[in-house]
Amino acid sequence: MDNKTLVDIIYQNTSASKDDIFSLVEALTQVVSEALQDGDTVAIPSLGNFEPKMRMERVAIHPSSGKKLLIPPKLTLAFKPSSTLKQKLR
Amino acid sequence: MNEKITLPSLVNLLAAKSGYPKKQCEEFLRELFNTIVNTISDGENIKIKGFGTFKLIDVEPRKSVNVNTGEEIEIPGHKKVTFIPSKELAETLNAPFAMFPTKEIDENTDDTLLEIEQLALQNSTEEYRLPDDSEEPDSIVPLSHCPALSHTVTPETPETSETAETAKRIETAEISEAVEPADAIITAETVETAETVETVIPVPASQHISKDLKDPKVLNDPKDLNDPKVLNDPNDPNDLEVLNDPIPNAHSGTKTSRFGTGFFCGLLTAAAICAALIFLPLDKIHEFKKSIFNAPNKSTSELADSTKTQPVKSQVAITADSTKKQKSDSLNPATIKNSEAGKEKLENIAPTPASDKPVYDTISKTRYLTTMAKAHYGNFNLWPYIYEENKSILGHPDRIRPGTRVVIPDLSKYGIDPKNPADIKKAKAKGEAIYSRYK
Repeated sequence: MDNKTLVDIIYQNTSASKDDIFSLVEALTQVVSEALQDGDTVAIPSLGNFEPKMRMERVAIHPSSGKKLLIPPKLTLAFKPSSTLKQKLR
Repeated sequence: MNEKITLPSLVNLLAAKSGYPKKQCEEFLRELFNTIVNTISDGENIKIKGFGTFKLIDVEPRKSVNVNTGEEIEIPGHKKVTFIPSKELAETLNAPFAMFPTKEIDENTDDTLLEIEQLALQNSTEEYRLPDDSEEPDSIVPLSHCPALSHTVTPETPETSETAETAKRIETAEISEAVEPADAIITAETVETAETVETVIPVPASQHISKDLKDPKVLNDPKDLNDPKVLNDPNDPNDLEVLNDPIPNAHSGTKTSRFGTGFFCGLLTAAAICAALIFLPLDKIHEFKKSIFNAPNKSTSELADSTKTQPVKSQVAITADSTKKQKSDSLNPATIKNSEAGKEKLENIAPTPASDKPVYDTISKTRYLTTMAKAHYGNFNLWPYIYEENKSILGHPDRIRPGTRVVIPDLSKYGIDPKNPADIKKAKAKGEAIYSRYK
């Protein structure tokens, strides 16, 4: 399902207009990304937790050239699905 | 910071951000998450623009062992949800570390370690002196090496440099210059006495030095302190003479720096004895010299041990060949006095830039060394200098702890100009060097 169909479904179930929903989705991504940049965890009960995680730097070997590479540290987003979602999937 | 944002607070944030009423936001969020959960439950992937994709992955059934009973069981195949953040989200999240490139590492890391040490040595003259002291006993080199060394450092600096950073460079060069003529005195004097009184050599030598040192002290004009040009001009003719002399160049080698700093220590002791001369009559020097070593001044206490060997070494260093050269060097008393005066002036200058008020900053989860460097210097690439200043408390540069209070050093301390691309390059190399320490 892509963004458009998602908005369509929400539009059918709520009173808001499509434009409103598009802008709300955009605002939500901004809010979440700002929260994650501050190091906060976003917890949504039905869905799961979004948590920023630090990946340490490491030395890896380039598969084709065989050279040693120092891979820099990185902040990534980890998603942990909630147990209710897991249950539904079984 | 490290908070858990739940649905109600997310509603508040979203309402503040979008400007829609809270009720509408809450309705939207509930519906959105319901739709996502339902879609996933139906076994369909879902993509939200700008946020990411929720993807379902099939997990194959696999065999396992019940931990309690030891029976073999089969874990049935199921689906599992993964979330792949969109490129935009991932990039904004990783912004603090975005400027670190992936680097190739050489097999022999020793070279990079050596570079770090060299950098550290250049940064502080005190560190520069330490390794030399340990090697002193071996360094018996003809004195004529020193001029060659000092000449290689000076030529670019004197005319153009007026800033504090370059003044530092001059300072080190000056010191090595100043050491050289003094050596000439010591050895020349000791040669004269060596023929007659071999056992009492250290005393006359030190007397001569201290007498010579008295004059520059009187000559020392505080107005000239801040003008490097004035200090350098008298030395220039000396340098030219050195250039014309083929012998020093022929001997120039790696040992010169060792030798020069060794005699710098000797000169410091001489200065201490000079101070003693001011307070004591001349005939009591012999007693006072012992008392210096037993109860030393604050300034000479550290050097006292190393300098004890210094006069002895200078006697050994004298050979029949070298004395001729040294005498020719010592024929220019005017230049000697000037350079000694320069040295003393520069010693007075040295402590002032170091005593600037320190700037402090505190590490937090969103304020790293790089962000500090950006804030204080205007370029995040200069973080290695903050790190270098605080390396004793920081540890690994990527594992700095939030709440740590760090000193932000003045960049002029390291001779770095944030607008100079070459210095930025140097800072990057330094950063890599710091990382390679922790491999």
